[in-house]
Amino acid sequence: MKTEQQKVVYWMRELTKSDLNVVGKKCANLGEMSNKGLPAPPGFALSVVGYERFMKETGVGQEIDKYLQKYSTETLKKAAEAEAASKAVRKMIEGKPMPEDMEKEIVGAYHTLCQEIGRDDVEVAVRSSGAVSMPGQFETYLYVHGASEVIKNVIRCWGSTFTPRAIMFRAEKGLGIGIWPIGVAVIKMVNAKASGIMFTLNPVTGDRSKITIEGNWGLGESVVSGRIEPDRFKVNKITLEIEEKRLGRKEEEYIYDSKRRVTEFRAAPPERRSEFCLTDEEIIKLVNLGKQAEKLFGGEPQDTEWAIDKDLPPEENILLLQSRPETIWASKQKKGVPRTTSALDYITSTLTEGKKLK
Amino acid sequence: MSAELKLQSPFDVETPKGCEGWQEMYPSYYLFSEERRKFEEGKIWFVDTLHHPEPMAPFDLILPECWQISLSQYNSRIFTVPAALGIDHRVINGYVYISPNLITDPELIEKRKALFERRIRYYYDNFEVLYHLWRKKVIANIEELKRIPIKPLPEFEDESIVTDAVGVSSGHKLIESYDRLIENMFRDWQLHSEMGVVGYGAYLVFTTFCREVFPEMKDITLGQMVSGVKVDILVPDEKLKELAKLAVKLKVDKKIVELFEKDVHPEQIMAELKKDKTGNEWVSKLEEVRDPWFYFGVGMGNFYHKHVGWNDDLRIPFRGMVDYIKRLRQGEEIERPFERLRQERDTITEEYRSLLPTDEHREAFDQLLKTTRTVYPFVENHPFYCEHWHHVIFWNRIREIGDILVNANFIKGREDIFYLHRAEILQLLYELVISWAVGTPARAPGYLPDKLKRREEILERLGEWNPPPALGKIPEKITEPWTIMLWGVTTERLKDWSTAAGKVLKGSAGSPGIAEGLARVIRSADKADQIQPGEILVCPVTAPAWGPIFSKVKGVVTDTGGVMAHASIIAREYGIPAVVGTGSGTSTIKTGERIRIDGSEGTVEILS
Repeated sequence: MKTEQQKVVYWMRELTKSDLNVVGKKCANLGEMSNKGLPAPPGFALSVVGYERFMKETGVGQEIDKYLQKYSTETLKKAAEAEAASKAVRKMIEGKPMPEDMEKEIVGAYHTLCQEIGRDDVEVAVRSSGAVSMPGQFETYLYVHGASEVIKNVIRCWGSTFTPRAIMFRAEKGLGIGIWPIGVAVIKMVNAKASGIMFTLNPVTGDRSKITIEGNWGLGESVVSGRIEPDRFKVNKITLEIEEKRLGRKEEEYIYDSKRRVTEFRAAPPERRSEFCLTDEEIIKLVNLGKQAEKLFGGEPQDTEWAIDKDLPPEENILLLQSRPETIWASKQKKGVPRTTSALDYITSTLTEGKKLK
Repeated sequence: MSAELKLQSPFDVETPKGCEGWQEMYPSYYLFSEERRKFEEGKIWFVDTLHHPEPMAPFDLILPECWQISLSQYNSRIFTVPAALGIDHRVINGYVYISPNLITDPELIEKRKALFERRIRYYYDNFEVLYHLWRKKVIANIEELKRIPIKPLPEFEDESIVTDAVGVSSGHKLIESYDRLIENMFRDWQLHSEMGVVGYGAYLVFTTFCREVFPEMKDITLGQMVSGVKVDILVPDEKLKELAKLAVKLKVDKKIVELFEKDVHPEQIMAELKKDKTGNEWVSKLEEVRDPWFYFGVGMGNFYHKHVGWNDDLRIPFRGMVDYIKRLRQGEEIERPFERLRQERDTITEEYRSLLPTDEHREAFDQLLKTTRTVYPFVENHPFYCEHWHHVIFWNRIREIGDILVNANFIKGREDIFYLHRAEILQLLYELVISWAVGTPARAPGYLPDKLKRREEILERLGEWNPPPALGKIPEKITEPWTIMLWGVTTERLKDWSTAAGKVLKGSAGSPGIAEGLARVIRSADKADQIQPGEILVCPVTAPAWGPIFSKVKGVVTDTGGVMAHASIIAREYGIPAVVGTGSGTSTIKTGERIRIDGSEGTVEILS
């Protein structure tokens, strides 16, 4: 747990999952991963203090409070009102400059990151990191590059605590409609050869001795969105035997065009469609990472996102972008706790039950 | 789901051409009949190719008769498994069909449950002592089998019959001895089943528990977790390895290989070796291990009279030994890696255990595992005692009775006795004794040889017929534990069985890996020498004694079996893939077809 309450920038590798209140959940998780040796994308986190200082030192926090006084909690539950409030508040935030010392610190960290990777103006993702997971409420900005862009997007990211959805949600839950401190993750954009998701169980049967992987060429969006039929792999977690390899149609790939600076879906060339996006060696490496992540996060089955980064050397090019506990089966199985009895009671009751055929 | 699944009525199965009248070979209670039609059509019947892959010669029917009674009575009357009685048998076109009798009355189930819990608990609580006693009983029964006197009928009885006032004649003693042989066989199976419910019961429950948390856990993994690693059933093969090593050490290996490859019979090889000191040392070691370890049959459980043992045909163990000698000479390690296997078992068990969702699960897992491991030695070892050692001797003792019938011109050759049901033989022995005592000609020589020739022809033709996997009516639920576990009857399996035709067969994962090659369909052990190196063996079931064959083939496909099928265990030993329980492998795949088997997925693909 970090105690220097005023610090704004933390390197991911300095953080652990107990730093949830310092940098938000996503950063704490990414930090835990880097800290424990899992290959998360390199980068740094901006603390919740950073958000608070920005709001205070620029005076925009007070401005927002004042502005929001004209709304009641009740009115902000409505989409139209929330949208109007969002627009106004975000404009206020984005119109403020970063306090000088904070800007210096963030830009310094960005330059260090560029040096580590060995390239100027490295493209990064600027991701929101709330204290609790609120999927889709805050925003994330991809392919941000250059120091001034980073600063600009960090401010935008803070501003995204006032998206209409976030405002409505907080109004609905009675969580308060004012400022909502979050952390921000600034991490290297993955230059993905292939990417996808990995469950450290079989989500279909709940079998925890299996690891299932879905993947496609390019960025993970194509897999996560369910737009295409990905390649599917099933591996025995214990013996590391690849038990199933199913070639998906992989109709499209989600690609970043660095010249035009856009990401877009493109039809996949036939030769890549007929080839698995992971080699057996990569599958096993990935499975080992999944096992490691599971151990790291209290032995709970994990739901992860992964990518293979073209910019990194082969021995360290497989990255875990995210790892969070799988919840559906975990709770189901915990409910089906066996009646703790003797082996014999088990035997007699099971032999009596039989097997349904219809 | 399986509501639309319809099975053929056992009464609608047609007799193959040229096999008309097959019914007369079997006792009436083994046939479907009008008297029991309603009962028989109201339940499910499935073909037991796990134990009886070939059409039954009338005498061989003794085996299903033995286990039908012994297994059923432990279920129904002794341990009183709560929701099941016994397993019913019928023969159709020479093949054995079986059907569990289920109990649905909840009151009766409760009553039986109370008894079951008390009685089965006694066996679990005292398992080690009871298993020890059990082994003694089985071995005593085998010793008794060896001692039963079988002697030809003399023209004049020996003087001692008078001077010792024996009181009974050789004729009477012959009938007594035959009765004792038959009783001895039935007794062997009584003992076989004594530990069965206890042994397999624990295993079944452990399996069910594990699959609740790990629905995709494979039989091989389950077997691996409870296996004792060092088991009696593998000793015969171990002994071959020891003999191979001794041969190399004593420098008689070259001579053995040379002579064996010149097709010199093992008996002659042994005589040759005995001429010098080192050779003699090796031969005495061989003689020492022959009893009991070479009472090892070539068939799965030696369920057919033609399943001879190593002691009957020393070429079988010699072939294995020569193979090991060659491998030793090439510097290969032939030992089973006990330490590694044990470590593998412990690691796998610990890893699965750690993946259980709660501490309560772990506690239940520990208890079940402990119980299952306690009783599992029985599951692994009983085939050696009850099936190999006993049956190899038993079939030969029946052949001695055959010799007596040959002498009396009742039958042409000693093997012909197996075309007679055990009850017919008893009748014929009475006819023989009457003829001997009275001095009257017997009728049998006049009609019997022709009758048996016809039976032989029918059986040959029935061997070409493919029995449908299941018949009758599918029940809502199966509560008979053996049917579930040994034969793996589940909704999925029934569905697979009803749509067997196609280019991809589904079975169970027996031994991991993928192999592609030419198929060799072998229905019975005596045709095993047709196998060419690099082929994939396709058979109804495999037997552990086929050891040397496993080192020849690339993979194995069987019609029936799961972890209890030794095919899986042995294939893993040899590191070749196996797909077991395809239901229709031998009837769908043809010799010479190119197939691809996936021993991890349990699939067989016919390529061309």
